[in-house]
Amino acid sequence: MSVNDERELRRRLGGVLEAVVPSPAPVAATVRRGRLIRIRRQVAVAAGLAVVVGVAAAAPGLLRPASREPQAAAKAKITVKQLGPRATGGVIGSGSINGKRWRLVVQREGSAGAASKDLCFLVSGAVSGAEACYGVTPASGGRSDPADFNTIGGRPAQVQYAVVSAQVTRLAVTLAGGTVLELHPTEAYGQRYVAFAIPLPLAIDRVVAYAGRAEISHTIPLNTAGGDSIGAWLGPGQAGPPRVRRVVGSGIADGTSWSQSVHAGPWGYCFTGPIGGCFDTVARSLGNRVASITGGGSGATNWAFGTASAAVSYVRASLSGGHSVRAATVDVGGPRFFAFAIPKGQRLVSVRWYTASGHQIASESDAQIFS
Amino acid sequence: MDPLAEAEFTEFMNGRWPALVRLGYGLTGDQGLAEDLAQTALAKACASWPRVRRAGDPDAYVRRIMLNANHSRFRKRRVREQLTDQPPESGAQETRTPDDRPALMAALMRLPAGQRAVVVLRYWMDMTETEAAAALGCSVGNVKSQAARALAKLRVSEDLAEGMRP
Repeated sequence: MSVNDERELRRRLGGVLEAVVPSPAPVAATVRRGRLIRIRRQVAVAAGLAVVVGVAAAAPGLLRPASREPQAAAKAKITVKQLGPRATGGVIGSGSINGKRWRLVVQREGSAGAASKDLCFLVSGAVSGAEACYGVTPASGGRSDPADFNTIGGRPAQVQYAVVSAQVTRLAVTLAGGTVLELHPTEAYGQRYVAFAIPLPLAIDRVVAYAGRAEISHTIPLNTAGGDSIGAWLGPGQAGPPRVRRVVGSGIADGTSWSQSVHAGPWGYCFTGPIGGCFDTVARSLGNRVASITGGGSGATNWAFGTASAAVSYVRASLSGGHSVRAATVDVGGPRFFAFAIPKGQRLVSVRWYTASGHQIASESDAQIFS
Repeated sequence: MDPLAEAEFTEFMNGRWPALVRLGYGLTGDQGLAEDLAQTALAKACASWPRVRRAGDPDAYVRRIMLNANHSRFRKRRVREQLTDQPPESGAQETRTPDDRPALMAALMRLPAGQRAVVVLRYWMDMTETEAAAALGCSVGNVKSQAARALAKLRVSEDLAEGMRP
């Protein structure tokens, strides 16, 4: 091998790897994983100790007595207050985290009883105060999901609340570490709600909805550093799709690096990057469409994100001013996804979906995309 | 972990994260996998942070876990892993600044995992053969032969149109 080869390889490898722009370091999630690894080790030690103690009891003299008790896994003490069937003063959730109380109140936007259809959710107490206002889709309005969850607030705790469908009598939320929170719906402004709050480092393992004693459905959230996304609901015993994460688009737009990922799993399809959110479905085909365009609006960089059927290899987008973008579609556990940037000063005119051989199989004009 | 150790780990992680993700990208060719690998290694380091900190070289510890985790990934997923000609982040080619990322990564991805790890450690991290051997847990001779084989393959790689050709 020549020195030139090595020098060239160093140069090119440096160029490639230094161009990689990592997402922000997920410190909270990593510390949480580290804590779980430590707890698992302690549990494994405790289980091993139990076996060894069992052997010792059966055959005294084989072992010396254990000199210390196995360490108990540190857990936050989380409570959720069971509210009555009708909310008092708009309180749809309350409880405590390590003895510190929190509560979630729903009220009409503006003064109580105002004409607006939007509802405001206000959280206060142990969790950082936050408020969100929007129109609530009635749970019985065509949705078959047992509960439609939203999250409010941030560090140091996440508050999850849901509009619950009529047939659900209770929900059981299992947290990492095994704690189970029982939630009973309470009614306010014609909707039934449940709510709970947990420290952000704690992840939600699953949520099960019951009608009486019968399990109707369950959901497994996507756990991220910023909280949990509770998405698609699965039938009893249904496992859902395998967990897959893929980068579906990346690059440099207007001098800024970006990367868009899709996380497929039992929660459905969630996306992180310039465009965030989830599709609450585990369907294997999501069709050919532009799902979202997000960014700083006109005069700023924007991003388009969409889905494609299995036959689609790439999409070609026409931008204003005669520019065009070609973006490959990426398989994420069945459905294909794509993402591309729309540079400053340009706007999306149309998108066309193509097979690998260049055959166009679908298209959307801006009127269809923005309708 | 006590608050002081957690603060120390946080500082360590924030400082090392970009380099570890880049190492992971060199090993896997996929930024998502790279970040997973880096996070896995750092979570393991976090779980044993007092011991890792006492050992004196947390960087070497985390790198070693990453290399082992990547090796395990190949052992476990050999059949499921589909290495493509182009890494997935080529999705929006026309919005990227021109570089030879797809070509070089495609060529790297065609190398066996061990040779790729040697290339990344020797030619991106600028490790000596001895340091690379220690990081990989193999002999110096093994690093030399893996590097020689890797360079020979890269030299004739069709993905690399210039520079590496004889």
